[in-house]
Amino acid sequence: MRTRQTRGFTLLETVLAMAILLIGATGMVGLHMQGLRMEGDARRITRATAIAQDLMDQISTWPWADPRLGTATAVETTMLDTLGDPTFAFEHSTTPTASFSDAGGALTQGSTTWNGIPLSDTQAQGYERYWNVAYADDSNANGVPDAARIAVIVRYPAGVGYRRVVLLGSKLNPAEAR
Amino acid sequence: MTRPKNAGGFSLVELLIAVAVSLLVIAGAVALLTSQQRIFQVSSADRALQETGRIALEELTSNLRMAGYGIDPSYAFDFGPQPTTRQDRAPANADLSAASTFPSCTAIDCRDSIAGSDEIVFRYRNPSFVRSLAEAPTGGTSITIAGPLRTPLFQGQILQVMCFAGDMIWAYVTVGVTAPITDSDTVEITLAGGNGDVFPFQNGYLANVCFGAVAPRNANPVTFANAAKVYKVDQFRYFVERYDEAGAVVTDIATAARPYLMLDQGLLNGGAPVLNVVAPNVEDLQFAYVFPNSAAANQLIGATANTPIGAGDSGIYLDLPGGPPSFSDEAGSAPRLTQHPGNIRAVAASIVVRSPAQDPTVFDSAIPAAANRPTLTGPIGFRRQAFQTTAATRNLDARGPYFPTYSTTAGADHLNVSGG
Repeated sequence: MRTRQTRGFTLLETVLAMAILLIGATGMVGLHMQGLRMEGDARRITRATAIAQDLMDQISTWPWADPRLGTATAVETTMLDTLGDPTFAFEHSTTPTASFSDAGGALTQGSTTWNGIPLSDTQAQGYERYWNVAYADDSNANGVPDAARIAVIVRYPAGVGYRRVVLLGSKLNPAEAR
Repeated sequence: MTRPKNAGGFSLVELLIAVAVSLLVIAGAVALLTSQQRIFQVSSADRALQETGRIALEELTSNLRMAGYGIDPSYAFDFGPQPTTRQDRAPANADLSAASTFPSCTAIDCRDSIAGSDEIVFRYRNPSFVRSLAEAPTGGTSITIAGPLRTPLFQGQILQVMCFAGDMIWAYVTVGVTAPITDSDTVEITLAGGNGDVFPFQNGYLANVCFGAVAPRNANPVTFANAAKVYKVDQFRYFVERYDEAGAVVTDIATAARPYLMLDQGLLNGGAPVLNVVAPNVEDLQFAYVFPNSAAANQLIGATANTPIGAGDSGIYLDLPGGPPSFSDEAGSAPRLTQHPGNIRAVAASIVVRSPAQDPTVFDSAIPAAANRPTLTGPIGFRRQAFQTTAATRNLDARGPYFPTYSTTAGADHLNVSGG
């Protein structure tokens, strides 16, 4: 004897099942889109790191008195607290405060020559380069800074703001080297 | 017995509708699957691109930053034979010459190309290898070093022999016959070349008595049997080579043969060159060099589009009237401000990486321009990405060769006191 349940699915059941399938499929597509976005992000971070490294190694070839590092005659701690962007200010859409910005012509400031990745290349891809310099170290207290603490910050647009990469380094004052 | 009303099967219309609906569902599933597969392919190609780019850049820059460590600045970069190179503490502070160990390179522009990939050759002292000379060298044909050898010393390996007694000179010599792994206390190394003074065959210098001097007092009699030390000087030649599926070299850059970033350390095993693969799918390498123009400014050589690096003012000098830089030259002095390879302050490296496999939906064949090389036409169907960065070469500013010296006069001679 047949029971009522063997007669197959009702239309309502089928529609429900298909709706669930659709939601699942949409979720998968969303997951893939998210994956692609993250991959794009990884690619931009890789490039941002290379750009930051390029600037940092260029800075290491500059002389101590290079105008692109400021002309510190005295110990000063102005940039020390915000040197490496601890508050993620560079990820906001506003224009951040930095010692130098590549958009402001700082790469060739004071008739210097820029030998790293050209500005046109980085700007075409949306990258902005900044570097902060702090002359805070004076171990022998003679008023002459021992070294420049340097932070290179590279950022690129992401969402409503920016993502940024920070590299920290330093440059010794040859006159104070012992 | 009556048939239940519902057991009569499907009508044709019901069947058609059911088939149509299931076709729709299956079509949707197939579309989903195909798009997933497509996304997977694109993203795996993208990941491969980035992984290769990171590996290749990391390998290049980490070794480039070591260039010149422990050796004379003139020998740090190789652009072909140098008629004169100054080596401090060579007898009479002589001007020596440096032979190119790569016969393929006879002039400056042989490392640089605007029609394809550049190559770069540099050297530095291997920081993890040191052995004492076990005996005073006799003749200039072999040296005996303290064992054991955990890895072979291959034919072509450059060695730096330094004595830290007497004249405190050093010589660069080359292994002539591969010395195998051994537990023996002493290992005899047959040297290549004659008794000359041309880098890296300065066998003639080993006749100096300081190489046979005994170790300073209080030194461990086993470890410091002799007052001379032997270091490895490793050589790095990075270049791009294309290989077909049979393993044969392909020179045409427009073919789809897979290109590799290769490393040649100038070593021979059983007479055959030892070549290492650093990364696959690296299509192009370009290098530009930062030189000091004056005490205050630097200049970049090799980044002007379509202009190959030549000899002279706009290129690189191998033979300078004022002499090449050496340890005795202060930073900022005239020999340190020339375009001799010993004054390279930084290397700007660009690489072009392509996806591992051809993608039928990609119709681009352009290899993007980098440094002085214009855009070139490569094989069609590959995704490509260019990476660029700079590596500073600070060892070339060194004022001394990291001499393993120990003071015997409590530091009055300005040498290290008991290990520094």
